[in-house]
Amino acid sequence: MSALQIELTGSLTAYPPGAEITGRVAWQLPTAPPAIELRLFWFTRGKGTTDAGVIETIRFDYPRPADHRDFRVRLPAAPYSFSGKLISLIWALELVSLPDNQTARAEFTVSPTGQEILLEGAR
Amino acid sequence: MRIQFGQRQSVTARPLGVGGRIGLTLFFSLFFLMGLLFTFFLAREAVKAMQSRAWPVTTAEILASEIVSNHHNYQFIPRYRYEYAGRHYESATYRQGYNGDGNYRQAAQLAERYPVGAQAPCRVNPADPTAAVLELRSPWIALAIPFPLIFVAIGAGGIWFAWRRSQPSPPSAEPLSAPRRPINSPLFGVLFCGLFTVVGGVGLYFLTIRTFLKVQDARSWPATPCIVQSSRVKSHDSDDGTTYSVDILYRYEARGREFRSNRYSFMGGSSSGHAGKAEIVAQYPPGRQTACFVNPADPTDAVLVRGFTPVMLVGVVPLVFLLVGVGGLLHFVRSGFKPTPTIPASKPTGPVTLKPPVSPVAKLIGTICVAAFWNGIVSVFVWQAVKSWQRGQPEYFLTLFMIPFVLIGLGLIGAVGYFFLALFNPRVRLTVDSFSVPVGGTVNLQWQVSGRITALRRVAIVLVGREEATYRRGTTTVTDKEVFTTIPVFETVNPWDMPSGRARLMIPPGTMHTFRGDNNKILWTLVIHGDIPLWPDVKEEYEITVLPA
Repeated sequence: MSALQIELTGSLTAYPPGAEITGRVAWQLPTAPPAIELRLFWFTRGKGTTDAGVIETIRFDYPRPADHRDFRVRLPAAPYSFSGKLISLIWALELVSLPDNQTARAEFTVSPTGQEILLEGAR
Repeated sequence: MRIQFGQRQSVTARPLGVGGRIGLTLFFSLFFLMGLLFTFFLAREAVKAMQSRAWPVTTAEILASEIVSNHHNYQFIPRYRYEYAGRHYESATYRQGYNGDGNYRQAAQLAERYPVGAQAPCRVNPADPTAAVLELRSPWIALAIPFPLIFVAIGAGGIWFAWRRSQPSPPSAEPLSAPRRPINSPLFGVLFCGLFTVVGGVGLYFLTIRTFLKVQDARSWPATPCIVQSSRVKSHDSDDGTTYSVDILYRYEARGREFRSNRYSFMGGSSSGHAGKAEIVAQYPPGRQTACFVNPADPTDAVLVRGFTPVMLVGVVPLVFLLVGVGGLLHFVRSGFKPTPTIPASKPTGPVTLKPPVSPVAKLIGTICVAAFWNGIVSVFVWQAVKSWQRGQPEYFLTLFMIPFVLIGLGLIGAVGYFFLALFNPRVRLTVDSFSVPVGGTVNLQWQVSGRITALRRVAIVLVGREEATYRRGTTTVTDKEVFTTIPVFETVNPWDMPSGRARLMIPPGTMHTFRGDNNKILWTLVIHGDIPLWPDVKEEYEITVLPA
């Protein structure tokens, strides 16, 4: 049984821009993968073709099949999480085992107010 | 609350029905078979050309050297005798596949090269010594084979696409953080503009520059008496209809010898419109004595009209292609092929005069180009339809089919008129104390209106925030726009307040900053709207950058 997990310290779901995110990633795989990556990134959902931007990647080379690691990443000042009628922008951490691309994802909000910005038309 | 949209793939990947698959197969089979047929013909000709290169060479004696005028061309027809394997043969083939040329000069030059009594090398088919040629066919025809192969590939690909089994993609087969390609790659734009540049450049050289140089060169050619031998309007039938050209054969003397030419002016080719050509031909009846202009360096080179003729205006068309192509390439070079940063960087503060993304003159020129291009193409078909009605054999389907295209063309002509009138609108100069402003910050703006201010009935300035989402729909790229906020900045109907003014604008706290993804954008613009009765309104949009707080 394969499993990848991301735990955010304090189970937080919202961060201010520029904040530091800490937590722990864990995995349990049938065989040892060549590498596992933790990626801090944003992506868009909605009508437009998806855009995404990876801000930081932490790579764990030659890990054991089952293991865990603590991590620490820093958010940039922007973009903010928002939702409109056409587009949403979502922040996430993604744990990816390579090369088979098994994935676990933890989504959260990045905003100065602690709330996702709702564009007026979306209210 | 977060909005959720379905995955686009699940919407567009509906499997085709059997009827749809058969329809697509028939459609693409046409591409496939036609491409295959042309590939076969070209390959066969290329093989023939290569085979004849291995034929042995022998010496031929030219017995006759004539130029024959058929319905379409002037054809050089030699007759020569040669010896092969101890036996004598005669042949009248100049080159395999040669059918003459519309230009008399080419046939005349061949007759000069192979005069009666001369000896020339010829190649003999060893398998059939009665077949011989004076010239070999060019092997370059093999280079044309890839063109029909493109149609073969399109046809085969289409048939494969119609019958392939749709396989559901496994969920989350690829992480969302995986790198992805933008749907509007600059490579496609560069290739597109490059193609326009090459086509425009080649067309400009052959249609315009070469003709212009000839016209210039011919200004020093001496006028020489000539007699018209025959004159006619030559018709050229093709799938696209019949076109016509002027064919006036005249004889003249140079260097003590008689020559012939059928060149009327330096712009060759044929076009629609019989009446204009018939008028020219009527001016040169057989037997008429007139003057032609002869190239002193090459007496076979002569022309009746050495100056510019109206038909040479067609040389402007490749110039438009070239300008579009070069303009596009310059745009890519200027942008340095670098993607726009997703989050704009803060720019130095200080008064900045904002510029609209497209100037009124550029709008007019762009619309004129589009209208000329569209109506130029449509007019060819409209002309065919008009002629069919004039002949009394109306083409009803073509006439009905053309109606929407003509309406669009009329709309474009209307747009040209609209943007022309808009050139005389009052101009607004908008200055802000800083190009970029943070969320929750303020910006001071100042405007000055010049020109026909008295025509304005109302002036309004609003700050607009909007979303833009770009996506693929079939083979086209679509951008949807949605305004999420409109903040009034200034509005007046008082003529005294219109010429100039100041305002202070606040970006609402808690809103979204400017965001420029490859496909998704949040943009902030200042929109100025001036109402002018019975005239195009003033409407300009100026982008400002809203930075994260």
